[in-house]
Amino acid sequence: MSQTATQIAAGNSKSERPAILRAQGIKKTYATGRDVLQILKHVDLTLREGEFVAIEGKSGSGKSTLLHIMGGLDVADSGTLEFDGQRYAANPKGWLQPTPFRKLLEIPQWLRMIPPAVIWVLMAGWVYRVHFLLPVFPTVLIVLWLLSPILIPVLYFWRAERTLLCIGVVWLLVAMSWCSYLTVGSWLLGPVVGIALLVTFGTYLAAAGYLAERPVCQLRTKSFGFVFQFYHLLPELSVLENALMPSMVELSWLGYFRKRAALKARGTEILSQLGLAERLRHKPNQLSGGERQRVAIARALMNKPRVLFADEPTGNLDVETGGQIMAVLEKLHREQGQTIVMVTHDRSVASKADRVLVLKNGRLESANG
Amino acid sequence: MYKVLLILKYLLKRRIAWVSLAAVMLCTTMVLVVISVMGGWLNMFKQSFHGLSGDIIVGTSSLVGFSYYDEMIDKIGKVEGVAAAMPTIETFGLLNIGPYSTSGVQVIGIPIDRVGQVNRFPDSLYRQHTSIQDVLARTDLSAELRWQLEAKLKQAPSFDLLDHCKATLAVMPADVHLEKLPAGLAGRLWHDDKTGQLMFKGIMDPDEKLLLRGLSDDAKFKWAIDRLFEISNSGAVVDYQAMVARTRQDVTKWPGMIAGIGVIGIQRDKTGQWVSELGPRLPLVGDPGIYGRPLKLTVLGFRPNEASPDVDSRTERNYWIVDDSRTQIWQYDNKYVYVSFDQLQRDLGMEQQEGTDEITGEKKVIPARTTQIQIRMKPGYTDDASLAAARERIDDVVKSVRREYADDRIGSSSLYVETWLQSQSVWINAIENEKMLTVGLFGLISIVAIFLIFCIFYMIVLEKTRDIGIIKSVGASSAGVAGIFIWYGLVIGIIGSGLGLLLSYLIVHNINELHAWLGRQFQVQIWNPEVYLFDKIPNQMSATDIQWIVPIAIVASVLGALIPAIAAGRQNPVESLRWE
Repeated sequence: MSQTATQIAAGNSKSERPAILRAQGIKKTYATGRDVLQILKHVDLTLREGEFVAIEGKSGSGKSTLLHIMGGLDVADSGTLEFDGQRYAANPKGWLQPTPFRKLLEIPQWLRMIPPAVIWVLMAGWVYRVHFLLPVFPTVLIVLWLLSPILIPVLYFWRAERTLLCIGVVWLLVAMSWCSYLTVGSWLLGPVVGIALLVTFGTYLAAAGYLAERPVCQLRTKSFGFVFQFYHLLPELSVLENALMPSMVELSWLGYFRKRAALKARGTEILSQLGLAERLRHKPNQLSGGERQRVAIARALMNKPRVLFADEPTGNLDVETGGQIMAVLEKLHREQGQTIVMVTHDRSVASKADRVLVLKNGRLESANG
Repeated sequence: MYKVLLILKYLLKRRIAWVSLAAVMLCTTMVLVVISVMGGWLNMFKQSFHGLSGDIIVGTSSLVGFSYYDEMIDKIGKVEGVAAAMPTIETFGLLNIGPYSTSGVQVIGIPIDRVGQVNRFPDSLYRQHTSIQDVLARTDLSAELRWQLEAKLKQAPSFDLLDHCKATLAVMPADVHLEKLPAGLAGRLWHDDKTGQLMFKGIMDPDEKLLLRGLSDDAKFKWAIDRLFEISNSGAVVDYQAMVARTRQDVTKWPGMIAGIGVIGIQRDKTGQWVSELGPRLPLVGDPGIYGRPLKLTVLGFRPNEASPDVDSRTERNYWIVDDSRTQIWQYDNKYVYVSFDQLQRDLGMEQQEGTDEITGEKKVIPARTTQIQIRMKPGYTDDASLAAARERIDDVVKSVRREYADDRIGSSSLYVETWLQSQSVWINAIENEKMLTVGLFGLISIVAIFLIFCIFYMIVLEKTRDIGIIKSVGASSAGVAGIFIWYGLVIGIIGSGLGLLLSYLIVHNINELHAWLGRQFQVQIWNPEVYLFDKIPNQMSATDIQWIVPIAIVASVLGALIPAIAAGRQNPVESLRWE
């Protein structure tokens, strides 16, 4: 009861603003060998527009994981995430992401797959001898092949990678063996058809993965900004190029080329505001820690994100520089109404936020609760 | 856009990628150079074979030959597309080059005045063609001499020694011709119109030039012969007076012969120079007479009898070697000698004869025979289809003539009608297979480049793991991250194969200079002139080869980059960000 009261007292006006990001019942476990560590047990969080929320917790309490899950970089085991009323999840079906290859290649699966494959191949030979059935096989194969742009994404979205793989391999074997039996061409026809099928299937699979991943990628590019503890700048690029990275990801080659002057002006402006006007052409390894973090903030702000996620932004800096970085975040929040979610283990840093939440035992609690 | 920027940065900053670029370049170069040289070699062989055989050949495998060839040639000449036709006799013989050296040779009887109309045999003649062209290549010739030499080039080749000597050698200024003689050629003899005498000129050694005008001056002649013997080390005692007398006699008495360069013991050493197995002295024009060394050809004639085609006659005849033929095909140059068609026909007993019928005993005329008709088509009959059609037409004509004279024809074996490609298919197919095999093997070796690219890209992906996490956290999709590396592979493939194309162009076009340089610097010789009779390594590239190999190289680079790229795309951004 007291928790809600303080919350209302702290920012009455802010609680009336619309919720921008809502996380409900987030669970996450890490399995390392036999040990199963339930790092997030049940996390609910509602983030309102223009809020500055700090999540405090001990090292290893799972606060970074929570941030990654909310930022669409990591997948929760269960629970829902909503941004602007739209559900999203990191990589719901990333590019063949959810099932690692080694799982796909587990032996029992293959053993189960081999008998039908053998039967199919034998059938191909049988069909070859029974001449009146001869046209049936190519017809089936061609129809399936024509349907594959629909079939493959559907199977893919159903999380049926194994089925997909089984069908694909059998299909390939049958097509190849049938084409090799066929004496019109040469024995080369089999491998050629096999390669053609592999290429088409691969293309459809890649396209399906791309489409599945697209919404969360768009969210990460346009609506979220990330600041990390270890800055994470690209060492090959200059300060300005690092800051322009999100707009490069967002726009196509041509789109970027058309708007390059405006984008560069915006990048320069943000960097100047952060006191880096002199260092635009420098490489990250020529900068100090505080400067690097400011470049990271500039990068995060480049696409005018709705939510800025900061993962221990002062964790790697001394007190003075850390204070400067916090001042930058506070100023952003105050002057531009930037919504910020910050994760920290430092209570004094957390105190700068509107609302401080503590992650303890896999649950989120109010700081003074 | 980030892909373009990152590819550019990675290309410039990651030097390790240049290794894969170099691998693509070298593999492309290797395959292109091999395919160009082998293809050029094959083309040279094809051209040489074609040049020596005419376009279409009518022939029989029997040594007895076939009759009524003149009638056939008349009718073939009227067939659409035929430019010229001539009979040739192909048989075998024994050639006695010098003491204790007799070898089996293939003897070809050619109508020398017509041969230029049917095939390019005259182009292979050293004295009557190649050497003249060499002289013409000089810039310091007088206009008159140039005109004379060009006129000589246009003349039909000849077997007549005197005619040949008068026409060619006499017009050449002494110095010009001497310098052009291959090392080891020691002397020449020619007829001087003004004095009516035979002239001899010899090279003793590269520095000393000896000019003897008028061989009637026996003192000079003797001195020359002495010097020749010093070099040849034969040490034989020679009656000079008798030799001079015989030379004058024999020049007019003996017929001329053109021999394949290898037949008379001239071969190339490792430096490409022509040398003789018989020592520095060569039995070339004029020399056999001076030496008193007969060059004797023995041929066997076969009785034109269907029941028992036995050996009918054996004819030995001394010949002058008037010229040597350098066809650059080993099989020809080492085994073939060329003599006059009429001479050979008479020696073999294949000319028109009076004979008696074996059954009735009546007198009858036995018609002249030959073993081959070579046919030249008009320009435009270059592709296989039109040649095959022409072959069909000629086949019909040959069959109709055979039917017409079915009663008293000689040579029961059926005649074959073949295009030049068919007649040489055994050799050409062998070389074609050799080319395919070599290119295939080198292609196989080039697959190593794919694995190299795979390894290097895997390294780059591992090295860039954290960057991949960063790029993904900024919003790049998995496909986008994979795309960076696929495009990277593509760019490396394009640049690498482009550079490879450039390098192979430079190598192939300068391959002879390069080879010579290698030979000078390291004493390495890959193209051994002892084995390959072609003077030069082929140095042309074919567009068809390029349009296959360059795309294959690019696709291979992408293929090598594919798995690392997929691995990069599949990386979990959170784990990548933790990567140290």
